[in-house]
Amino acid sequence: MPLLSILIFGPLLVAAILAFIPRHDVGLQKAVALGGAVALFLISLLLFTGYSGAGYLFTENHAWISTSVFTSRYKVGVDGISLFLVILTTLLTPISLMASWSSIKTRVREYLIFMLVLETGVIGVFAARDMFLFYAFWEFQLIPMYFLIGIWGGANRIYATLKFFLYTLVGSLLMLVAILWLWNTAGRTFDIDTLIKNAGTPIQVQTWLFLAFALAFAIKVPLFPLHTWLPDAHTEAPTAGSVMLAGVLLKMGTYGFLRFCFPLFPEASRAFAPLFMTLAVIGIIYGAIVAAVQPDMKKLVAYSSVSHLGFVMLGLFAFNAQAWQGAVMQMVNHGISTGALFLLVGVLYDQRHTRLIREYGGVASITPLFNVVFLTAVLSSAGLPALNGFVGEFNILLGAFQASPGLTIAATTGVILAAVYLLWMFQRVMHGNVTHEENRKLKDLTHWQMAYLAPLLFLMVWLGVHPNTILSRTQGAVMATLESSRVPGSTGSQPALQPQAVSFEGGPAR
Amino acid sequence: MSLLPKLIPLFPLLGFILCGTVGKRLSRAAVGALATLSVAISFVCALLLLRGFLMVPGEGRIIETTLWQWMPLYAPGQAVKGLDVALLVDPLSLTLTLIITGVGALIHFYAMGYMAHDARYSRFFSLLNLFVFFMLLLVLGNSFPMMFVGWEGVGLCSYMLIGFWFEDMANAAAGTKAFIVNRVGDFGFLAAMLWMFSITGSLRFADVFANASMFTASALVGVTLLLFLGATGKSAQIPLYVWLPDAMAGPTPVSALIHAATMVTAGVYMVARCHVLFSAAPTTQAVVSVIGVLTAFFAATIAMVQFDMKKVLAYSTVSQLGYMFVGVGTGAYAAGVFHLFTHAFFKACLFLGAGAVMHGLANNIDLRYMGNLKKYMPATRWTYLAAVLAIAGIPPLAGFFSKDDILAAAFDRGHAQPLWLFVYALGLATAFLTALYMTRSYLMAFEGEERIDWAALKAAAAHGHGHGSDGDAASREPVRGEVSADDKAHLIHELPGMSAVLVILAFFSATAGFVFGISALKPEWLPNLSFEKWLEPALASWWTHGSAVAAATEAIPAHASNHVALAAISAVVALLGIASAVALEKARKLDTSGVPQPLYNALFNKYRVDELYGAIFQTGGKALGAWLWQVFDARVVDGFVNGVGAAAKASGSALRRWSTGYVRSYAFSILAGVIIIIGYLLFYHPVIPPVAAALGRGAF
Repeated sequence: MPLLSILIFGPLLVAAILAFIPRHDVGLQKAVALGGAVALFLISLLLFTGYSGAGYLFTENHAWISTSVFTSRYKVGVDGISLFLVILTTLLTPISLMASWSSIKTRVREYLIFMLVLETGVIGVFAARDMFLFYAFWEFQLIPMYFLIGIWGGANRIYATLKFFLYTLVGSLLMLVAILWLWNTAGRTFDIDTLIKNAGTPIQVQTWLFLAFALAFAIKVPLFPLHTWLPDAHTEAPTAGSVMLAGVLLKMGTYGFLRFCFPLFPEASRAFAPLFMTLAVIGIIYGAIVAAVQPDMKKLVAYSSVSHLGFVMLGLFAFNAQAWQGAVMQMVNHGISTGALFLLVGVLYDQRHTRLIREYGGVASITPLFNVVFLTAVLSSAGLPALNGFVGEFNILLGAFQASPGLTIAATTGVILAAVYLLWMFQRVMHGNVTHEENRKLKDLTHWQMAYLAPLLFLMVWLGVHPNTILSRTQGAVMATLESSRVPGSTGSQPALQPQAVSFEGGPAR
Repeated sequence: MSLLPKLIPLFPLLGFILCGTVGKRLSRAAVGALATLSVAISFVCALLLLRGFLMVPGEGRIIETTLWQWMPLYAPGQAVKGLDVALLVDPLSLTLTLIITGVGALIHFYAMGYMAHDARYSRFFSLLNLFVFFMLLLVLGNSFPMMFVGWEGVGLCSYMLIGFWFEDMANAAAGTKAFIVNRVGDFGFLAAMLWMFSITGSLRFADVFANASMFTASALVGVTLLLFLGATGKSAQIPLYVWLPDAMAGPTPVSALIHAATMVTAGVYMVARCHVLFSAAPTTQAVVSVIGVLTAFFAATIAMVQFDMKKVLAYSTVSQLGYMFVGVGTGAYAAGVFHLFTHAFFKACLFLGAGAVMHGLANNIDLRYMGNLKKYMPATRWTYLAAVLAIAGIPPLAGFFSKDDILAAAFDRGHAQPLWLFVYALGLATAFLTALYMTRSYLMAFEGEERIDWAALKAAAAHGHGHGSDGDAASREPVRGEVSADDKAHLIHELPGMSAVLVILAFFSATAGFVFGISALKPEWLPNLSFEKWLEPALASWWTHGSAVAAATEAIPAHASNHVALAAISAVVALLGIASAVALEKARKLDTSGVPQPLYNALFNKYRVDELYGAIFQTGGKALGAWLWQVFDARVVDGFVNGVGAAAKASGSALRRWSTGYVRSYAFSILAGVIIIIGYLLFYHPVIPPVAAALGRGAF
């Protein structure tokens, strides 16, 4: 069964069905969209249960574009790394739809269609095994995101969408140039495996190609100082848009580094590692400090993403198994915990139509269940051990320390700062006396809200105590990527950053 | 035997889940009983383990048992191995387990009375159970990360329980402060783990300690100092002690269990657990001992002039923890753990006594509005007095033996290293202050003239009991009106259940030191029951892995006669402290402990350390954050981005026509641009490589 094609085109099919439902029958539109998204999530679980060992599975390879000038094939497949990002996408899509069930009131059908189209684009990015196909999906997912913010966003949405679009586009176009260069030098093929095998690009050229790719990905992550589009985009986006943006779209950047930059340009990647690690650490601390002073909860969570993704970047540029395992884990974790935080802020916003921290206070005494769920999400985001966030951060730090002890110690201060900005916000929103009478009418979480929050809560705890659910499946892919990102014959330009000699049972031998 | 260790943390976890989920539907008695029993059953399991241990020789007293693999570890040059969720029981962790579950069960039972009228009763007990669970993980974990799970877990519970009455923002802020200050320490713990892993490729205690020889001397000092930073956070030592006095905002059973008997001693436990590393790092030992004794002295001076009974006890806890660090820092690990053991009893007894007073006085905790309570609260008075004498170090009560062990060890080490003579001297001075301020708190609360605010009590009784927050008696009106003796006895009463717990704790405060302490003198007629002997299987490697300094310490002959003399000095100093307090009372100078101005102001304001930290970290941090956000982000980075946008916009009128403000036109233009560029590049692809190559050459 072509599982991946079902997952990629399934959302489009559901979107097409929506087009035939009468405009006024909003309830049916929502039900069909949600039903389709849930079904797709269940189908994606087949990937999880069916995935074993290492390497790419569920591969499909068909002729797609074949012109006299170039050919591109529809080649898709997932390994342990993309597997979880695909599942994260299929999980967050129905959750986002449920969260926006009653908060989106205008142009509901278009909204649902864009959400589904977005799902197609993102899954396509994570599954593509052909460079052209990857680029097509990469650009494609921009369009629904653009409209989601631009139409259903807040007051300042035009500025935010333009900023989001221009930032992303600048990077993407340079990446396109680099892709075409690779295509030309590697025998005019877009096949990623072939490109990686032939990746003997001289270091001078590698540098430029690496930078072109890296710019696109670094903007997406976002890596300091390319992050300023993110807080604006998040503040203006509807809740579901923020969940998808933080939950999966940012991961396309970190995924891109791991999947493309490192295997294609191993020498250049290592040469730039000190720079990127430094920027990552600056991002961790900078994002946290700026998050602490935000008056707007959503902006606070957005800046916290800069900090969290800094950890992922630090791990990626450490070039060892421990850090990469942590980085992959942290990509998933961030989707879960930050997704939950955006959802919970959305729960408050839907009732009070403000996200300003000072408008709240004493909420804990009114909504006890919300209190527990919110605290759990905050602690997951703050990296409390026995919850998921810790496992990712800890693995990243363990691995990164071997590459750069100094930078890693600096990054470790991020755990202090995370407690500062998250708990301080929590205290001001939830504790104290009720200072605004309107807040007395706040409703506690409904069954509907719990239905979409419960899976995330479960994952926070489960992945914290049994992270091997993910780590045992990503191990093979991480080892294989590490192997293909190895510098042939050790150029010795960055002795501290040489890949660690990892002997690994069952994996590719060094 | 391998099942029991797994059961010990299981029961409190079950208690937490049950109380947390169905607790609201159960009766209060059922919730309290459930929570108390879950801890009590764990205590029984620990006792069974103890029985098992006592039947085997010392070498057999170690059990390590694995539950599941937590995560894989990829140490450079080593095979992949698992970091396990696994438990380690040895005499050291079993001692702590017995304290946690034993004292914990008593405090749970006490809390059933103390919290009886609280609105969030089931939440309280579920959190208390969760705390016990994490505390057990902390001491039973077999690796640094497992310990860290407990370490941060207890911090979380502490945070939630300090801010239990979160309607009062001051309580919530105290909780947040505790968590954040602890995180500063946790940073040290985390960094130490990273460093140790990079050296040994493992984080399991047994692996790390077995490979201690792989550490360079500077790595040892670095790792142990980082670990000690963690300890200063959790155990409230200089410079991270500031959270503990504020933590008294929590309900008093929490203060007794978490902030006196168990959690705050985790740092001492950690140093003892890592004795192999600390013993090999003499620089760190000196730092630990000096920080410990400075904290002990410094906190004792503050305690002399406080009026909040719980604050006095809080500073006293900080001070006593300092003693424990002197013990473990000197290398006398058994003495440090011994003091941890005795302290758990007398400090829990003191706190619960203070809780009984608060319960009786409608939440008043201000010593100035007490006095003559012996008339109304006899059980509380006698148990409190016993605990005061124990902490003051009056023989043969518990504190005397354990404190004296520590001071003697410091004195012994002072032969080789004069630094420890300073430690000893300051420790002795602290002993005097301890006796003084503890006696002061007893005299002000239970003896002397009656300064009770009867009007406030009457008003509180009319409104029913409640524990909204700890009362701020300073702002109350002084005593007014006449209240009859019958009324008084009715207004202030003791609960039998609570008093029973006080009596048990007072009993152990009096006796817990004697058996073990007297053995240290090694009389011929007694088998060796000393703490040192009991902990030997866990601490034995101290002698084998020791450095030159350790060997030097070993070489110092321990004179029993010498120790008797030291013990006599300690006892005299304690008596002097008590006598001074009594004299001050006679002179009616107990309020200020006779401290002259302006020193009194400095002490009363706690040397203004909180204000200093606040100015640096809160005010400074906020200013930095605001600058980065509103200047750097908005002007520098965005200024550049917007500038590029504006430049592009201004570059042609054609572009301006597209700037219609309609989203779809922007989207269309961008999409069209992408297609045009892609098309251009695809069909004129030969153009690209030479251009890029030229660029590449140009740059290199």
